Amino acid sequence: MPPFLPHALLTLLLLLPLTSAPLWAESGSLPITRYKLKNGLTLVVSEDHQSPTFGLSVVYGVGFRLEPRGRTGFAHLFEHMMFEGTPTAPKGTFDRVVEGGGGVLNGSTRYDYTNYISTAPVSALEPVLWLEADRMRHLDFSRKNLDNQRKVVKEEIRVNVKNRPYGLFFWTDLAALAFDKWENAHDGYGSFEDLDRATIEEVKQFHDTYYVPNNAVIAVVGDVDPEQVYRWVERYFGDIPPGKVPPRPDVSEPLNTKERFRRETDRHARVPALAVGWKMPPPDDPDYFALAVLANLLLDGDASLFHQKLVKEEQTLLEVSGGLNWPLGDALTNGGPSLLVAFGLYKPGKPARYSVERMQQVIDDLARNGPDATRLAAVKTKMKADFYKRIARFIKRADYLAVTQLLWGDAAMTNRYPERIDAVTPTDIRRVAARYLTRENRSWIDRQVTGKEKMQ
Amino acid sequence: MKTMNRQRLCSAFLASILWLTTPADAADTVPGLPAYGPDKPLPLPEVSRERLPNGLELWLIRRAGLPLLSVRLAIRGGTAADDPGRQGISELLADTLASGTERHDARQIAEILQAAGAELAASAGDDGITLAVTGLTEGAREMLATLAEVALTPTFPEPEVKLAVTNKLQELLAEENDPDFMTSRVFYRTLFGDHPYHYSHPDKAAVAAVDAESLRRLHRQRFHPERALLVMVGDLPEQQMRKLASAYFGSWRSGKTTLSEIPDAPLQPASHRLQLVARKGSVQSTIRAGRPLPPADHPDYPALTVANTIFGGSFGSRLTRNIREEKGYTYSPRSSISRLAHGGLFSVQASVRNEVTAAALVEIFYELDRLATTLPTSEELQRAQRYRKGIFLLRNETAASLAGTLSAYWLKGLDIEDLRQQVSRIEAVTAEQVRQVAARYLTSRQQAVVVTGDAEAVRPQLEPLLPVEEARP
Repeated sequence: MPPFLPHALLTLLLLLPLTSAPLWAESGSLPITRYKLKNGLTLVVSEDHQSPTFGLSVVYGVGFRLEPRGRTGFAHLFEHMMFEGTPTAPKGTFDRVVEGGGGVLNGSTRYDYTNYISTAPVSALEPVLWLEADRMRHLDFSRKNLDNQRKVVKEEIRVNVKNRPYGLFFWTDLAALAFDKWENAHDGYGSFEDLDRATIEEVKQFHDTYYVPNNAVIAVVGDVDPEQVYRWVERYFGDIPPGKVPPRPDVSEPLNTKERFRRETDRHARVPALAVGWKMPPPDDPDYFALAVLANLLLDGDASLFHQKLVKEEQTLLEVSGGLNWPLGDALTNGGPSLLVAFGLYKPGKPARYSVERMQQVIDDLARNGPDATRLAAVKTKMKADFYKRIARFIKRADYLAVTQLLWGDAAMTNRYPERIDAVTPTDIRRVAARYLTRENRSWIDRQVTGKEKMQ
Repeated sequence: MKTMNRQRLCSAFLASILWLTTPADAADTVPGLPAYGPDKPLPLPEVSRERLPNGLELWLIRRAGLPLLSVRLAIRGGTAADDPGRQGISELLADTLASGTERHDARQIAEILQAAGAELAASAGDDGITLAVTGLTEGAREMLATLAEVALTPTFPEPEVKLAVTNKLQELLAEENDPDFMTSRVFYRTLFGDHPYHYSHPDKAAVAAVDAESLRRLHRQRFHPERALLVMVGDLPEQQMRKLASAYFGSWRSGKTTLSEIPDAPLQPASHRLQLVARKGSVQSTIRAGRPLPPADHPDYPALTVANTIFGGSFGSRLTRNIREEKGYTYSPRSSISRLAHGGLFSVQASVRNEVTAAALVEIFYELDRLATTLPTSEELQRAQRYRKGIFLLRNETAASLAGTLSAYWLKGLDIEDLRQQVSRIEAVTAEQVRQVAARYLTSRQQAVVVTGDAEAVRPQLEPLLPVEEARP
């Protein structure tokens, strides 16, 4: 508290209830305190005393794009190994401590990062930070656990891909079709053959290479004191030696110059589906946020242009969903080339191409005439509101702060998201629709049902 | 109903229970691991409640912070109240409420909400229909106005209803070969027999029979203020919430119709024979086991909640340790307890590769029977209790999730006091009570079992275990 504060005001502040107004109310943005340790580890803390809990995200700068060739799915398999214990804290300790602390935990692998997230009452924060430091330092590199998690990951792939209609083809197959570089095109879940080939030595090497403090960001959100969090992080992570992170390969790709198309058959599906992807520029491109807004204008909710055109007017699609960097993330959680994806189930009567061409008509109209200003304003309002809804949860807020710090070099990017959205004009929408959402830059898949089961 | 004044909200932290300080239990085996810090007082939701003159119940909570407001309207009477043979019509009612009113068409409704940063989520559950919107507080008026408009004056335009019916039929076709869909249809039927809680998805014939007139009729029967609750949670003074509620819902006229009384669901499954749902080319078996439970207000629920947490309701649970972390049979095994107004259910599920279908079921049975016959360790009990306390906080962390919890409680016939006492009731559960409720409800022989998978591959494995009967979804 500043020393010049008049007495009357000071008394007033002391009388405020314990549920004091959050710092959000003062500035309309998240308070961000940042620290950098000597070993290169970055810590981001954002206080919010609305709930006596914390959200924590530990993010490492490695994902699908950087996994070794011939080892598709390795980054994700490795993520599983992070939950398998260390020489000091055996398998099961992490879950016991987080859950016994009243919390939940998870991890996920994405193109450009892997995150380890947890949330719990604040009394559990110190032991959880200790455990995060412990698994950054070392793992129990056990063959038995690797074999066990290899099996678990295969079941994960069966339940999400191999045994289910559509099997995430709008992610894996569409990326494989649209992109040329292996880093962007390969299946992040991985083939069973590649998973089988992964060795414990490779697990160790991956940990040594990428799971180092100078390749990580920690974000803590909630009912905490930033200085206290810093002291804990300094105490538990401070002596972990930095590593030599290999330079990032160039994963950039030009836009495609010719339409790409693939027909697939789905042995589990009863209704055919289609997925369209347009290649997007990297996040630092000046057109990027205009494309994020365009994606929502086309695809978010019942008011969206694709819903109105294809589900309501043409009635050729049963539903339509998608977005920028969909389904694995959004505009902020992407560090390289991505796709703007539209996915839908189509009804009998009209071929898939008919719906895809109607989508293109909607886009061409935007490219010629731009969006209606009122509509654009509503889309932007909805995007900002949706963002607030997501960061309402401490765990999600921590994750955004950590991921933006890692990918954008600045956690304050999370705070700037609303203004980036606001800055997009109808002219921007026209320009980016014309430039990126073209037939030439379009890749799409017609996913048909197998003959025998086909019903019309 | 008593009205609490806004003053109470500020004391949310004071009117709360203190948690016991507990060391991180793993600490004694893990050198250097710090203990848990001291627990902070547990804040409990302070709800301002009152009734509008027309009978509509209002639950209001101010949540300062992000500029968001969540509004939920819950109406008693869901799929369980649908006429037999027409079950699922209330889902179509929910789907089409926002497809047109006297003043706006579907597109305009969606656009008005979009401009407020919101979209409508309307759904029908067993016990009621819920309409939910979350948007910016500055759009509060538009949200309330639109919510009232679609709830009170929907017109169910013919072309919109026709499209909704066509799409619902197509959706059913799309789900027809989805293993979760197939399994849950048979599971709920096996659990609840003829009771209306057997419903999980509508039959095609029931959907095809829906027309605009039947929806209008159903709307007239169901939508009355004395059978409804309006919950508002967000960064808005309560006085303002109250004003908006009266302005837009105050003119809602009360009606006289009554719903048919729903009896309590039976406590025993309709069949104990293993229901095998054949799915050609399946590379996994989708296993689901479970049983019906008593209605939501039954005193066994706190102990059942703890028992379920220890058994399979968390990542550190016995079941996950066993069939995932030790044996690698499955990715995401889990169990749950669901409470309903006139019954409830216990359910455990796992998707496992074909070869280990019976082996996984044997382990599920083993863990259930172990819980029913031996005491949980004090570490397990304490961990489960602390877990449930934390989850209580995390589940009610946002305006939207708290509004959701409150309206769900109300639909189950539970009160705010039940929510406020949830944690202290969990804390009072003893190891012996866990064993008792497990013996009473969770032993393997009391469970109904459904397996969806490649019949040729799994039938021979399952036959030694239980009498097997083929079922169709």
